[in-house]
Amino acid sequence: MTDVTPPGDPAPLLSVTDLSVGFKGHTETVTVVDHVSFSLRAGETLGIVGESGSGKTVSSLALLGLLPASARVTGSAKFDGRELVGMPPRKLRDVRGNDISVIFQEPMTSLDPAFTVGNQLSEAYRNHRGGSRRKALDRAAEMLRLVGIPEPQRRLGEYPHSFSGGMRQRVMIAMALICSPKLLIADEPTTALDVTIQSQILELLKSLQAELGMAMIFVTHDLGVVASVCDAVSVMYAGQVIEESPIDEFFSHPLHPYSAGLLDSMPQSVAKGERLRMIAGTVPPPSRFPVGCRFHPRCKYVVEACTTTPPELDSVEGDRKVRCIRHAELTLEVAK
Amino acid sequence: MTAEDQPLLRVRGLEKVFPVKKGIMRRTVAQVRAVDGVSFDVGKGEILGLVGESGSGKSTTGRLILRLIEPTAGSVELEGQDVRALRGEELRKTRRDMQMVFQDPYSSLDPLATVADVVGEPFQVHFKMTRKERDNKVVELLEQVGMGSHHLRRFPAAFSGGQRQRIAVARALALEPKLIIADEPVSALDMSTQSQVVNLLLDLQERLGVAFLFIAHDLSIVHHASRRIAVMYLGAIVEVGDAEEVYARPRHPYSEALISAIPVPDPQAERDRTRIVLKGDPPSPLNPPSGCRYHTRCAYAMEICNTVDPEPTPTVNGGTVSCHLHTSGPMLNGRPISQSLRNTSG
Repeated sequence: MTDVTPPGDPAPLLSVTDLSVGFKGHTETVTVVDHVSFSLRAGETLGIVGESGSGKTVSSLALLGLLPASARVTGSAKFDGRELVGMPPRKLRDVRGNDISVIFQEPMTSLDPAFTVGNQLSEAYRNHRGGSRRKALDRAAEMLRLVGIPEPQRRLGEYPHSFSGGMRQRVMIAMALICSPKLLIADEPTTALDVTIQSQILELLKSLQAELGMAMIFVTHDLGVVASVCDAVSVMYAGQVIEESPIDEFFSHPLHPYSAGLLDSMPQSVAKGERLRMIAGTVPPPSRFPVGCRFHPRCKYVVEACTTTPPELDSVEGDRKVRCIRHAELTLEVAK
Repeated sequence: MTAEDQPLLRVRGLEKVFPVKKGIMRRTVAQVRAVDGVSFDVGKGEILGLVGESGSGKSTTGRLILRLIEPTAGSVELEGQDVRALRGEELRKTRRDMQMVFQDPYSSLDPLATVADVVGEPFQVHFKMTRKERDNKVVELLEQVGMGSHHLRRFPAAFSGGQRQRIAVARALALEPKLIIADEPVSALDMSTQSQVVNLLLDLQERLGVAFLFIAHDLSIVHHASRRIAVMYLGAIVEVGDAEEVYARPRHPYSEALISAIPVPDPQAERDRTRIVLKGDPPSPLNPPSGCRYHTRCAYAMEICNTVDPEPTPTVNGGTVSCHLHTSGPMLNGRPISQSLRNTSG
């Protein structure tokens, strides 16, 4: 668990323990998320970082019950006193979009092109809160104003195609927040956007969070985005959490060789014109996760034991965790 | 001009106008000036970074140079030869000297062709080599990009994104080009493989003396890999200069905003800095603003910016910038946008 606030504070808003997700294949079941645990408190932002195939998106979709029927989800995810894993779909629908909302990477495909923005926003509200159409449209206009869309009344009557990419992502955020959720899951919310639009959206999410007091889970591969919005970070590799840390400690001295490798491979960590540092090899597919430590074939610090014994996620320095048998003897330096 | 200091690639006043058609008669109802008077040089063995956001015309510029699409106006010269005047066999010969690497290695490689086919095809097209000769060449090229000869008979599906991009680079290198146009070569790759491909491009430039036009939206990677950077906005280059200069001391307000928008992997720096958040969206290229095309989003816009399109002005470090701040108003005269200017116009 990633505890950012000192012990003694109220119970976490979300507490995920040993969450595993497997998909049944032709011959065997492939486990893509393996005993993932994390937690966060109200108002906190947790970054889940990983490359494609690390299981970061699948973990967040599992919380919301948004995985296909072929997925086998086990473990526990306690949200506000309720267990999400195994919750009947009808009950989960009450939670989803109401207490927990989600925004996805592609604002182009997440909105229905056949309905007006006002229609889609007010439907999201009335599904959970009921009330008159008039009242829901007023709420929708208020949300559009909140996310910085000019002339909200007029734009309610327009269709998604007349909004730009950045504006559509604002509409998605407005829709996600219309029922004042306690938790917002943002899955690569800015990856499809240009950098100047990305910075607008990140600033918007930060200010909305301060205003509304919700918790956020930021699923991303961009460490710059993590540094600018998150309080804590959970790094995933090959379906497992390999490090959890408050961000300042994570960026100043990462504990896992993979974390250090990621930070080191950023252009900022070498002088201009020098070769970038890199992690050799590629992420293994879920059907071929290596035995022992899953990172060992790419690790600079590999020893014999790494190839045989799967490492545990150990607690270190109070509020940090790392999955590496050599963490106590390694000092990983990250160039600035 | 002697052959010595002649640039490898010379682009002047390049333009591309796409018609917007509508209705049964496909009548042209409007025009999009996707590339609107772009000029720059790429020196021999130089890496020039071309950055801009989506819709800025950077990819179109790359394609116009290769004549994958035909320019509406302007000139493209490769070693003094006018590429636009070439026809048939001559054009094909010139294209050996200029190759392209595309963004998405998942769609740029034929899934039904083996590595030997994909990388060896240029030899068949241009030199009519036998299969055995081709295979030998392909093995050499694979070694250049750090891949073993045992991959020869494999299909693209067997490779990861980074490996596919290496194969695409090997194919581009096959005919020993003088210039490679790399259009977002790393943006589809995972972060741990991005640096592998960037290093490969740097190695090739150093070892083989190939010049690159490195087109990308990620300024931190472009800044790292390039000697000079050109920044595009809405079809035009607004600033060109030494990569370090543009990155550390931008002259154009748009370059400044673009650089300020990049999140850096350092939480303390992220908390401390004041980010310039641009107002609004980029205007539609269908209906670009009058005067300076950036004035609608510019924090420093003046009276003159609404009406007069700024001319490229030399900067003190040998670059050029198209902005009235340098010639009218505060008269920066090619110096960086200073802290004091930033404070007064807040």
